[in-house]
Amino acid sequence: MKDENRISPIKEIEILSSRIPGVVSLAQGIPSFDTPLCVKKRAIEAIEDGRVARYSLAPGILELREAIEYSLAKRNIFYDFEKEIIVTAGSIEAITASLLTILEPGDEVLVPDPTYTSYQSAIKTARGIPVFVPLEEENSWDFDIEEFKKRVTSKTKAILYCNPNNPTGTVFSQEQLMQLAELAQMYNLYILADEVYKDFIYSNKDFFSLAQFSALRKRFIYIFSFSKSYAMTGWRVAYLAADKELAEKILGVHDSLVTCAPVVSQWGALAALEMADGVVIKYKEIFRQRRDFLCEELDKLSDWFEYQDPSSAYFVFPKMTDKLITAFEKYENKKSNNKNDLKDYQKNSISWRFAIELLNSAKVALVPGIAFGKKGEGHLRFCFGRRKENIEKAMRRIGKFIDSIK
Amino acid sequence: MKKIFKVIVQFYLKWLTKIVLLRHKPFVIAVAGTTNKTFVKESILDELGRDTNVRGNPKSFNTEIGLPLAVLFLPSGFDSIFRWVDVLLTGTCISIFSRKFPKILVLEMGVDRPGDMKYLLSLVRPKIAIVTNVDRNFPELEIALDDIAKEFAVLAKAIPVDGTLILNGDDVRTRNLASIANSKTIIFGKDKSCDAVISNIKENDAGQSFAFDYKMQKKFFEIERPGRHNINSLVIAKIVADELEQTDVRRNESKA
Repeated sequence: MKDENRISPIKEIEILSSRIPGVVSLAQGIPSFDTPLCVKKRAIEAIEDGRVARYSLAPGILELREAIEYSLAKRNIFYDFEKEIIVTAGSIEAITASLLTILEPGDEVLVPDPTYTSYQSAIKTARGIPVFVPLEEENSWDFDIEEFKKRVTSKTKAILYCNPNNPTGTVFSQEQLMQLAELAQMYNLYILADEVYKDFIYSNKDFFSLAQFSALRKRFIYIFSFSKSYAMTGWRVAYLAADKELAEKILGVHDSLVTCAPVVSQWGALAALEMADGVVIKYKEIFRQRRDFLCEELDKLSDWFEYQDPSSAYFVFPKMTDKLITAFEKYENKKSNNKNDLKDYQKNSISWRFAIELLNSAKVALVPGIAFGKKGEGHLRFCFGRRKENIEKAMRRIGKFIDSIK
Repeated sequence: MKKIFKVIVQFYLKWLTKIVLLRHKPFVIAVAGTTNKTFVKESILDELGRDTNVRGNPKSFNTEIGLPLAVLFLPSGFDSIFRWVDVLLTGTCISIFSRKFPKILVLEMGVDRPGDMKYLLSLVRPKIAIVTNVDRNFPELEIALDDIAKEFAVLAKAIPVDGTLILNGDDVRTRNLASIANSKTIIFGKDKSCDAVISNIKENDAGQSFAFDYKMQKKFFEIERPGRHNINSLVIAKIVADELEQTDVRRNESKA
């Protein structure tokens, strides 16, 4: 049995916090909203009409795939719903199925560091090796293409990124993405782009997807999830789009993994695409207000946290200042036995130790930055997808905790 | 309670639709089929020109409530009774007092269960109908494609003698609808026996190209979108535009 893959630190923190009464969690990236009513109603109708009891076709119900093609076409992204679009059980299934399709054991996948924690386990599940490419915090967590180039070897098979990036909220520019495309073409690499946060961009910058660049078609896999945009994390429904030959191969893996995405969720997703655009705009505005609020609160703790303004998604990824690290280490030394309960990988990480102590002492759940890669160490991820009152409560508790250790 | 309200809304919208259609007598083009209705509708709208004289269903309003909303060009009230009351009041004004109305309506007609098409045809009387295909969402054989085809047969029979039925010749069940039609039929597809023949399909990263042979004229097209249905959509739009050229609709429209 392989020991490499364990549950993601985000879920680990959520499990730990579920055992502590009164915890306020800003950990897992879950929007605080309920699923839009039109989505729920369509799902109920489908249940009542007896349309959800059977497997759908493996790539998904026709109407949904057609609606996906239609919505992509509005962004100048063109895929054939009959052969190139597959509805999946969440984006992580789309990513895993794609990686299982394209990777041979030992193949390497370049991933930005920091980035979404589950990418690592998806790559390992596909018997691949994640190779981390550091992002530049000083440069709003953008990437330097030279860092990617340096890490390409004969085993490199793909590049996997999230745009906008989780946890940094960075939106990669068209120019940067085109450099990645060039690299992919030069070294015959696949590109997997997860655009789960594309609907929550707070700057006025145009959002560019490499899916719009048709020359990359044969080596590009586009992934989008309904989870965040439509508050449907529990429905487990997403989709991928890829050139037909590649899609056909991924479909075989998808079929063996899940047969089809949950049919009731597929009907819900169809309603989301057809009727919930207005809801997404509303969510975005609320997230913007929560982001501004959280940033204001972090500004009050500027001696302890430094952060880059997130221009998208719903996370802030502040760095613990040296002052905070020093104060916390002194506090740890005073509390003699506090490391005994920690696992080895937690003991060696300041962000893990701080996150666990914050959880136990202040009852606030945050995700340790190390979860997103080495460059994330010394950071904490705050999710502002949660209710404002919870953000307020969490920040008050964090303030008090810092007061107690300084 | 909600079910009763839905019945009332449906009934009221039906009569508003009948009144407005009776007053303005637009030329109705119906797009039916399991899939590809929206792309066909959009292609037809592109081909005819998106102006005040031509209108299609907003989004995919194509069911027993969606279709009347599409004809009356009204939004959905979704789950709000107040919004529905507002919709019905606005609809009443449009239905009774509107002076301007599109000359051509391009309407998707969605069917979920037996009897749906009959109901939709009690609202609108298309002169041109397109059936894109007969397909299904579930792999089990017990869901008979022939039963789905029967719904489209209702539409095929309803097209008047001076109307046109446009059928996908590459789908056997769709093609077979020609045998029950009272109207002229135009069958498009890859088969050389079709009235409008699609050939030389070539795919590349930038999209696809194909030849379209219709009425002794062969034309070549390039489109950005992949997928056979997108070729069909364009071909259907060309056929519809050609059919309309032979009616008074477009001529009257230009005079207006």
